[in-house]
Amino acid sequence: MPIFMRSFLHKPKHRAAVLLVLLALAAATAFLLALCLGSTALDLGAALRAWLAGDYSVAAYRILVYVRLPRALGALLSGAALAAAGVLIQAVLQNPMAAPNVIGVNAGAGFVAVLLTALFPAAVELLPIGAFLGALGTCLLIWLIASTSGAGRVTVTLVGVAVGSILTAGINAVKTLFPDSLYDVTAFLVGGLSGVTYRTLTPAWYLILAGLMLSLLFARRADILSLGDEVAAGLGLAVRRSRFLLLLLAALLAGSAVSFAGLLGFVGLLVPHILRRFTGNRHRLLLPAAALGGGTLVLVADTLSRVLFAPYELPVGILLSLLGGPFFILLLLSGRRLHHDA
Amino acid sequence: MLETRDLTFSYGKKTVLEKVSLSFSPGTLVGIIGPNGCGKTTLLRALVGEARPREGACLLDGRPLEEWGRRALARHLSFFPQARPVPDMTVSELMSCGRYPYSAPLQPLSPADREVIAAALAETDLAPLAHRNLQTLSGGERQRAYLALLLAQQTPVVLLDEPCAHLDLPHQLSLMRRLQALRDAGRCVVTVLHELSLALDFCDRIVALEGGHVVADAVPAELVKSDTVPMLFGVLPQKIVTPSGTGYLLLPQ
Repeated sequence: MPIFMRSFLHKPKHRAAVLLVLLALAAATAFLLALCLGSTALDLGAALRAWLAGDYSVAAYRILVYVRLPRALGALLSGAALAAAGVLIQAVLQNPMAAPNVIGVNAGAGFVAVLLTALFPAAVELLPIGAFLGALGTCLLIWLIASTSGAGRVTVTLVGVAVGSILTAGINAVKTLFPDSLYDVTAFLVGGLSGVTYRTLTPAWYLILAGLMLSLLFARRADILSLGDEVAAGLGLAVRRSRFLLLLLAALLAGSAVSFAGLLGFVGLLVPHILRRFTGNRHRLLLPAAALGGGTLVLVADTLSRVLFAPYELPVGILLSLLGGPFFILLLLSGRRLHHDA
Repeated sequence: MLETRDLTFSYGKKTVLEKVSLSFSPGTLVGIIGPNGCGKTTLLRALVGEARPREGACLLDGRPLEEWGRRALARHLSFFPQARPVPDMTVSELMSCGRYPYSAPLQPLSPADREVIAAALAETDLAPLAHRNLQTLSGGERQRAYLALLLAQQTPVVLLDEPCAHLDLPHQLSLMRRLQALRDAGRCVVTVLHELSLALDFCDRIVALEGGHVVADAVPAELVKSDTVPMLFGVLPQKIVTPSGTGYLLLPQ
């Protein structure tokens, strides 16, 4: 590396800017690729020309605008939301192993979503609100258990795991009781973006954008929470209220993502874990970095899931777990070796 | 000024503090000593406003702690707890947390904040380590980083819970000297101490607790004359005067 670059990167501020720019470029590239690649080769130029000419009958245009664009947006938004929710939950529970799918927040959102679909099959608009309420209810339950029992952070995380498995059982129960009204519930459970349209995205996308902005407002609180309750309180932080606010945001983000993308696993665990190596616990940097990284990861995974076995499609949730699982194990083991060496 | 009036505190049925009335004034270094379970830590937690007393009150500048807003309180009173996690952040990031009580949402550190932080780092000799991650520091360096956090908080009252725990002797001595420097700067410093000899050698005033009661409240020279120390700790302090200074030798009984 040239000397001038090394001295440039020596400043934390510069490093942070470079990281965010690189992640934004990665997200933009993944987004463009997601638009261009698929079971039919798409001439982006032809689609844009048709759009400018106002000729909406061109197939390329219709595929771009009605199939690939909403889907790519869905991938970007769900990935960003789940990764940011992961960061927030990890800050609240003070445990890097916590994530929306680990502590049952996704399962809570999924349970209510599945229940709503079974009982009111026509009310698609209710899904994001229902998923948000499910995620929120799960978060509140875990928060209540944590703050009333005084249990340690590992215990609280394990309580979350247990709550998650109860809710998953609930999902399976609904699935068994209403087999007819839930014809694509399996796709929902493994997580997938094949059904994403502007209609399914509509209430969720602005909730996600609002959630991401608000989470930046609370980034400082998340930093201070990592100093432990006593130090945080000594610095004048309202510890319980901050935990509650951060959980509320995490529920908003995870619930909105689950409402259209299903139970995508691993994003909320994997992405913050990787990026924390570059950002440390500075949430003002970690949150946007995780949002960009999560969006990129789901975009890439979803594009792969459409391209690999085209014209057949692998649900993106399966691909994420298949790729993410082994990668995460490698990451954990290499991290531990580093600690032993040091 | 910080004071307690008839402070009574209990966990369930067990009374941990009973009618404790004390006052702490600026420019003094007070050590709180006593055997395990005597109520030292509870007293300190009550003084920080973290533990609500069953009866009595803690007052800062004449106002009960409950009436202070969280952030206003954090601008007047800082606390060095016994349990200090080691977050994944650099020393200077930790320092910027110390300015939280003074910050507005979304506002970056002001030049004045940066000056305070730089001064706190210089005072604790941490400037060369400012960009190091806390997790890579030694125990003594970390202790200093948390002390610098207190300095960055710029409060007239500083409360510490066993700041010398897990430190070796040279680090204990340098930490106590830093507390004396804070006192000399006019702050009110109150620290729970496990090490009797440090309390005798460095503090201006010693409060001894036993079973939730104040059994002694005196300057070290007076305290060693009473029978409190042998009673509480089973040692007899002997004053040693040498050309390089005076100190106390603790003879087991």
